[in-house]
Amino acid sequence: MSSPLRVVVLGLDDRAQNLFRMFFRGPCQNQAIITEQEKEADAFLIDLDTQQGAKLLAQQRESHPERVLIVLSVKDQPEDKGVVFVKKPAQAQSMIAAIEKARALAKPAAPKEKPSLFGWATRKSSPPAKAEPQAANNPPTAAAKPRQEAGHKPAPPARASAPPPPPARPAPGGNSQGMKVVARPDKEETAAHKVAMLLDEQGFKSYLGHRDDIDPSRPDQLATVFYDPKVFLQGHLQSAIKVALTRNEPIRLETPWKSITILPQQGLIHILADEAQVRAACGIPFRNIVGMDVDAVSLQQAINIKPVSPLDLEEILNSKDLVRLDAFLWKVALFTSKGRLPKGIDLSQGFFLKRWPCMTRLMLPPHAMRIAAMLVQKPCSLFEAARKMGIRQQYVFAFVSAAHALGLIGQRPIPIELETPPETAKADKSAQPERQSLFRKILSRLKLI
Amino acid sequence: MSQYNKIIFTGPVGAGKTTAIASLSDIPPVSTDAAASDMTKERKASTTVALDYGVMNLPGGEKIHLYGTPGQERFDFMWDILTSGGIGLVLLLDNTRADPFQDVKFFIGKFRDFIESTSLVVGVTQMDLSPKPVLEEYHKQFEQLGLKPPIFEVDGRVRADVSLLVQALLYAIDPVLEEE
Repeated sequence: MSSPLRVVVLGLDDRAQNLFRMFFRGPCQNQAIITEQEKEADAFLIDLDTQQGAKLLAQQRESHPERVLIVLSVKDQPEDKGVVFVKKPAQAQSMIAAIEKARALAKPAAPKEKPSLFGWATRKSSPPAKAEPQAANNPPTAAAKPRQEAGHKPAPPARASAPPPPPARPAPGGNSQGMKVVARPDKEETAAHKVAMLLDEQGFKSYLGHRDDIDPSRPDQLATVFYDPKVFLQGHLQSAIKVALTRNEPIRLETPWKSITILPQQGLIHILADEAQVRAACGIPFRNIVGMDVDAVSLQQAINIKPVSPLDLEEILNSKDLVRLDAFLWKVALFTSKGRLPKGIDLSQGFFLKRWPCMTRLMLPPHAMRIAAMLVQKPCSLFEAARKMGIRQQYVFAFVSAAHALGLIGQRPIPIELETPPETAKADKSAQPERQSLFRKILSRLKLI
Repeated sequence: MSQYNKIIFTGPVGAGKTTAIASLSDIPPVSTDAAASDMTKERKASTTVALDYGVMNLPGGEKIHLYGTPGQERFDFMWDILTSGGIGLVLLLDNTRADPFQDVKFFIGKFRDFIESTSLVVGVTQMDLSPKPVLEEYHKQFEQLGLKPPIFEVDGRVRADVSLLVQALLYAIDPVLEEE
């Protein structure tokens, strides 16, 4: 895969920029990233429909004719030299196509060996010295064959040629080998390969709104923290998944909104809806979804669980619209919760995480990794967890709601000795300040990736 | 320079250690691959015989050294040396192997002392080629060994996957950590 296109967004506020950041990261599969450094940018993005849009475009064309511009508008626009047009509302497919065009336009100006985000040459132009074994040298193994036939993952990238290797030295085991440089690998992130989507605080707010922390001693505030999943798509989905898992056979949840096919044996879900549609459907009571507006009784009659015929199953399994079951349910719970907790949870008890969720394949609310690490260690009050980490309760509640939907949350009374007094926690944290400082630096570095 | 400045990647032949290190490294990673001459050649034509090495540069000039252990078990004498001063262990497991749980037992056995004094994360690779065993089964295996590590599906070629895995390693040591 080529390096992500580095895009400077012109004339849009932070919120809009953040939405683009998430759009690039999620639906556009990290094909582009937002940067604020004009010097390192490959392209510039302008929304022509903003007040300053047309002026910005004219200025850019005049003062920087060499720049590649991605221009968005609801009206069709001509694609002049160096301009790539995307019609609004921007869809992932059209944006990815525009990114590819922009990349092609930006390429001639780029140096042959452009430093990557990691500061070293990607050496993509070098002829491969040695192909990855399974790709060339060896006949495909039993495991490699389906990869090629089913087109799951591209073969691992060929390794780049190395500069003349240093003198060979004896290696353990008797092989005489020299050191060599291997090319930084990269991967074509296909739609089927859903990597984690990380929501930062700003992104969470833009996506799911803001909720103030509550005072747990105030019953009126406590009442506002809960929602009833049964009223939302989440409840219907969870019931259907339960049925599918019990029967261990595929079922179709037919609703007036969409059909959702659940494949328990494969751990997959088939749904013809993009993320925005799912989010919208999760945000309001299911019977109020636009176009339905039915009463509770009629809704119950309109929702059916049906078996899936072998013919339909075959077609579905070949579809590109399959998503991981756990990732979909997690996301639905996250969208529905918006930082609240499912009804029935006892906030006076301690919460623990039974095991880590597969966080590389989920939509992660802010601080998800820290929350998981804390709750997996020992039972903890959610208010205490938020306080210890110095984060909004909303993020803890969102994480717990999503993990609860996957059955990963347990509750038990907090024995007095398990509650760490704030002073002790502080003492632990400052036990090895040098090491903590190092860890923080590593985290900052990793989060740039 | 901090005493703890290494992250160790281990796992069986073909699990993706070299690739994962290359995903994070700020320098062109150094590898010492050789033509496989034993049973390894059934899985890979070449394998790492000494170690993989990469570096992550941190603000302030500090460096984190990324070491990958040789995949072949006959070089396990090097592992103790490598782990000295390590922050934690990234265990990569190949889901297409005949018995990945055997690998779990082997590597946990070899690194038990290091894990107990530091931290462990597990990345399961090749799950798109071989979806089973599922992650839940891995969790059960580790629970039987008295461990509850983060276990994620990863693709070593996807930088974000490897990054999240290492983030989990650090947070598992100290959940209260904040980035700078």
